[in-house]
Amino acid sequence: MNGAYLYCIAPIGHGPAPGLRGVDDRPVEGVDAGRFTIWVSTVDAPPAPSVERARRHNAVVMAAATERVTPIPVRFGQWFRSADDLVTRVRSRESEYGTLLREVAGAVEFGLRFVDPAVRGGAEPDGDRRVGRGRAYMAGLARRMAAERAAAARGAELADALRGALGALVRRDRVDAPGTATCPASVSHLVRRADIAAYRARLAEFRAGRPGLQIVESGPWPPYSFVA
Amino acid sequence: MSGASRSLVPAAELSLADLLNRVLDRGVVVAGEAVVSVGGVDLIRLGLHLVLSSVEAPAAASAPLEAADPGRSGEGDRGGP
Repeated sequence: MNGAYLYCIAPIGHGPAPGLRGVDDRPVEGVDAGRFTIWVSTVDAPPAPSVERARRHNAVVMAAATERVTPIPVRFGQWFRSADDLVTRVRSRESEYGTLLREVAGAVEFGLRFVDPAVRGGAEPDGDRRVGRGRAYMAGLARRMAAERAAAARGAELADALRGALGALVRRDRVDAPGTATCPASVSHLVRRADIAAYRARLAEFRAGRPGLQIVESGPWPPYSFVA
Repeated sequence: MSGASRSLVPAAELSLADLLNRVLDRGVVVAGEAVVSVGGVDLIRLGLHLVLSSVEAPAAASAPLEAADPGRSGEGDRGGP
C-alpha cells in the first residue's frame, strides 16, 4: 500500500525542490489539487509521533515557506490511503483553504513565553512534599491553587499589556491558558514578514520596561497556530 | 532563536517544546486515516505527552533544531487544536 503523508498545502505551482526529504527520509513530492499543490511523502501507514519525525515534518513545512509564499501547515499525522483520496478531500474544502492561504499570506508566527521568577518562587512549598496527608498537605494544596490562580491573572495581564504595546504589528494573536506558575502565559503572534524588525524592536522595548520578567521568543515559524 | 539572556529553562528544551506543541497539536486537520483518538483519548496529545516525557534534557539540548527562517525558502476532523 502506498499512502500519502501530508505536510502542508501551498498555492498551485509551489512545489518542493528536487531531493527534499521528509519523515523517515522519504522523498517529498508536490501533488496538484485544484488551486493548491499539496506537499506529501509516500508512506505505507500513518507515522507514530516522535521527536525526529516532528522535526522532519516541520523542516518540510519550513522549506515550503518563502519570501513570497506562506503555506498552510498541516498537523502531524495526516495520512491518506491514496493520493487520489487526499486530492478529493482537499478539493472538497477548496474555499476554506483558499481563505486560509489569504489570511496567512506574507506572514510568520512568533511564540512568546513569559517566565516569571517571582511567581515561581512562591508556588512550591517544598516542605509539604514530605507530608502525604492531613492539614499540612491541604494547606500546601491550597497555596499551590492560589499560586496557579495568581499565575493565570498575571498571564492575562501580560498578554493584554503586550497586545497594547505591539498594536497593529500583530495581525492576529493567540493566548494559551497558562500551564504552570513558572510560565504564566504563552502567546502566539501572526506578524507580516515586512514588520519583523519593527516587531522585534517593539518587543525589546516591552522587555526593557519589565526587567524582572523573562520573555522567551521562538520563531519565526510557519503559521501553525493560525490555521485551525 | 532569540530571547531572554538567562532563561529558567534551557533554551533547547523550550525550542523542542515549542516545536512539538506546534507540529503535534496545531496546524490544519485535513482528516484521513490518522488515528487521532481512541475511546475518547486524544492520541495526538497523548503522543505529545509521551514524547516530552521520554526526552531527557541533555539529549534534547544536544540536538539543535533546524534554523527557523522562512525567509530563505483519523479519523474525524477536529478542525484545529
